[in-house]
Amino acid sequence: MNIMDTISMLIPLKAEYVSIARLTVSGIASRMGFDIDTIEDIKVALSEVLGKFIEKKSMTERVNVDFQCLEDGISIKFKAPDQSIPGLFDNDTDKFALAIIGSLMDGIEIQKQGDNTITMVKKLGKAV
Amino acid sequence: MGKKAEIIRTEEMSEKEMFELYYENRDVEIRNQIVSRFMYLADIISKKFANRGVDCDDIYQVACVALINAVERFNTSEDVKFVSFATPTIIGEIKRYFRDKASVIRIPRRIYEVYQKVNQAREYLIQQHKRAPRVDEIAGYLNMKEETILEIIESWNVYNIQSFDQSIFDEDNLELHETVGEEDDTFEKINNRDFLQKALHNFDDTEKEFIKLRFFENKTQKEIANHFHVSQMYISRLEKKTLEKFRMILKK
Repeated sequence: MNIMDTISMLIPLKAEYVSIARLTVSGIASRMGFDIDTIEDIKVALSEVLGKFIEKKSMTERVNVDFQCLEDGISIKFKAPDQSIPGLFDNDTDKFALAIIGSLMDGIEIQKQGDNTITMVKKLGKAV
Repeated sequence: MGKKAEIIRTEEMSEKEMFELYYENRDVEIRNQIVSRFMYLADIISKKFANRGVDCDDIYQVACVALINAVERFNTSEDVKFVSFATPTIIGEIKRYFRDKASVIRIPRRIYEVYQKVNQAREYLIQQHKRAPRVDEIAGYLNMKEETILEIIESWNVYNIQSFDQSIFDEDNLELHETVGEEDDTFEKINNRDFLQKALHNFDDTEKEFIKLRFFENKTQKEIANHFHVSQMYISRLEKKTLEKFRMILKK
């Protein structure tokens, strides 16, 4: 999986900025050729993740979001410093959010050792 | 009270007579009777605007106010029926309400205006391509910039403001706020009390008395020592022992 281009954002963990990230990802995804329904799915998944970061943040005020353009899709990587988001996706309502993301995206990976990172991928051309 | 107006009955009067009477003396009582006679107009017209995202009662209220205004403004000298004058007035008033007040968050006009167009283009392009369209396709079809389209799509969200009082299903009256959960800490309180009650069986009377004084009445070790006529050292040891015992029971 070759990363062709990466666009990065460092956004404050406040609800009012989620829309900025949503608009950004819609622009990137649109450029890559996703159709509008898929873009909507990506935006929902992105909001879910950012929502959880905002809900659970303790040691950090901002989160780093990398949008990586792959040859066959987009990968969105959220990164916050070690220990800054305790209990991310641990309880039952979080599992629900995770299930939503899982059904909207083609893959999600959560890493809690060291930096807290979440990576989710959406492939081009898999949409029906 | 000497100048109490005689009760005027308008039921028998013709429309013209009724209005002329009102414009002559501007008596609110007469106006009320006129409005009541045409109340059905507000009812019919507001029903036409049902299910458009605004509560039916709200529209009805707007329609009623519009009806009163129409009565005030009606001109009897021209040969028009009141109904033909009031109907467009009320409809206009409701439309203005939709335009100005109905959405809680107002979006910029340029986006508002193309909002419907994007929706139509989306439907049309789905039909044409047999799949969901891409943004550039919509932009090309509407002859607009892609950025604009993306902004419009993002702004769709603000149209659906969710009220805590709205019912979530049509069939029953469950309201949204009833379904939004929160950890109930009374459960933990009940658990704690239950544990305490059971645990206290393991203590003798002196220990129970000590627990009561120390942890419920928040007395100092010194006060308790005076109460039992013992040294503070003894109470200190008792406290340590009691806590140790609680820990043991808690582990079990």
